[in-house]
Amino acid sequence: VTAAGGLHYAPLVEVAALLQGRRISSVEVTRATLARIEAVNPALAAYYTVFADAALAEAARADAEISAGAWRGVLHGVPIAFKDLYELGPTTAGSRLLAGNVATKEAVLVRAARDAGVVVLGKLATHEFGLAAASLSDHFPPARNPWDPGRTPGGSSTGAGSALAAGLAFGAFGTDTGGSVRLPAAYSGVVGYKPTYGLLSLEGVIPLAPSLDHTGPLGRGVRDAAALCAAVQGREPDAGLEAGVRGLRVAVPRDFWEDTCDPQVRRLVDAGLDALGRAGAAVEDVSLGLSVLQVMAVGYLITLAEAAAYHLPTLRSAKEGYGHEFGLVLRTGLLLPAYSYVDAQRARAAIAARVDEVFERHDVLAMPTVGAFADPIPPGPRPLDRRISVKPTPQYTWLANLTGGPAVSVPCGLSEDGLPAGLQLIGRRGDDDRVLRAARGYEMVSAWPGANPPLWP
Amino acid sequence: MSVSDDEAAARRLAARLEELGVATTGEQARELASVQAALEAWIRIAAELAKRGAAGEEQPR
Repeated sequence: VTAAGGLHYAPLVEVAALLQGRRISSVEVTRATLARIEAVNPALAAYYTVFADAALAEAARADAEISAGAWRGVLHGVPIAFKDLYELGPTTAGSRLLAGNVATKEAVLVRAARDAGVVVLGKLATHEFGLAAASLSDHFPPARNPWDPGRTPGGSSTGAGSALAAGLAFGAFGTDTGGSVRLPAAYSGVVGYKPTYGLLSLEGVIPLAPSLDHTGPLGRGVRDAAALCAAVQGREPDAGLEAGVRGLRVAVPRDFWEDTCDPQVRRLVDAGLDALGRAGAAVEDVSLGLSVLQVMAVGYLITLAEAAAYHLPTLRSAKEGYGHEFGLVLRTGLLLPAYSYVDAQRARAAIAARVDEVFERHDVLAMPTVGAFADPIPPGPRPLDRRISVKPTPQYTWLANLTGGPAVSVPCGLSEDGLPAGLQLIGRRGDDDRVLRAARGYEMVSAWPGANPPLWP
Repeated sequence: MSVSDDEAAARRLAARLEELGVATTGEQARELASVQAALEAWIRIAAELAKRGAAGEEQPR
């Protein structure tokens, strides 16, 4: 056991301080993390690919630079990983269709992270092309939830949620079209941050639905997620991140989520809202006048149509390799009449306008991330009517993909069965710092910090 | 909907996909047919919200 052997659940920002102060080396941290991946990943399948040799070489380079006084910032020498939708070495999108594919160049965000000095540990599991739910019969093994390995860590950034929750990386970058950063964060008990649309580059990331796609970080705390995002933007993290929530105006649109939410999730979220109130936030119920079904229907119609358009040439080529559910999803998208896509985009504008009205008197919206706990991993492909349904699993995440505003999922407690739930905070477009401050403010007064899956001490 | 209606719907969907150059198995077509009612409900939801926005009506509260 090295000096880094007990650090696997340490916050990224604290590891960064140790590295900057040369109290520990990047090689030590990286070697310890690789050893933990080797020991734990066979049970969790968070990683598809691990770049052990390259990571150690990058760590040695970071140590040399830091020793020479050339510290690049908070990510310098820190081991992180990327979802397998980012072009970076072997890049499969979780699909047999791309098995054996190796990217010829790296995604812009990967290059930005390298410029910030990261150590790239590997590629993380994903739902196929960021959508189709992973099952036990898939070509690639499904990532598992460290809180209960029989359950999904949430998707589509499944490996990111699993790896962060089990201490197999200090940060990760995922993608989020309808909640794919925030859902695994909620189900796995970590933090997921979807920045304002367009804030982080999508270039070199395999698309799902370009008008809704986002890239974003996951971390074990808000400070880590904020640091990851700031570093790849080439800026310092917000100096006011820990300003607290006193005076923050929090709108709780209960008509949007309460009726569809699991009662245990609701209790945990309500306890979180109470904590925000005790910390000085002005928490007020509001009526949004929208249902989660309306928002998910609009989000899915856009996603299905845009995904089908992207994949049509491949579908026509009759190339084998799409999984059962994703193949059906694409065909569903092809069958949509064009007017329904136009209507969905108009509906999206109407939804965004209504949310903007709420922001005239409030700073953030607060609600559960998802109104359910992690499902068992299915033995085979899920039937299409689990997804295309008038009673879908209520994912309150879609709202921020439609508005383009920033959103953060923060852990807010555990179910009676020991499964995590997430509190989601959403802001107006461009107001990322305020949402992150709100999320950090909540995190500072919540009972969560320090909670890790008991199976993986 | 009767079994024969379901089969007819599945055949229609497979034929439409064939026109687009996309092959579809019978099993896939039947599963696609099974979600058409939900999909049509989604389309109606989007149309209703779009209409409210386009008409400049007061947004839902």
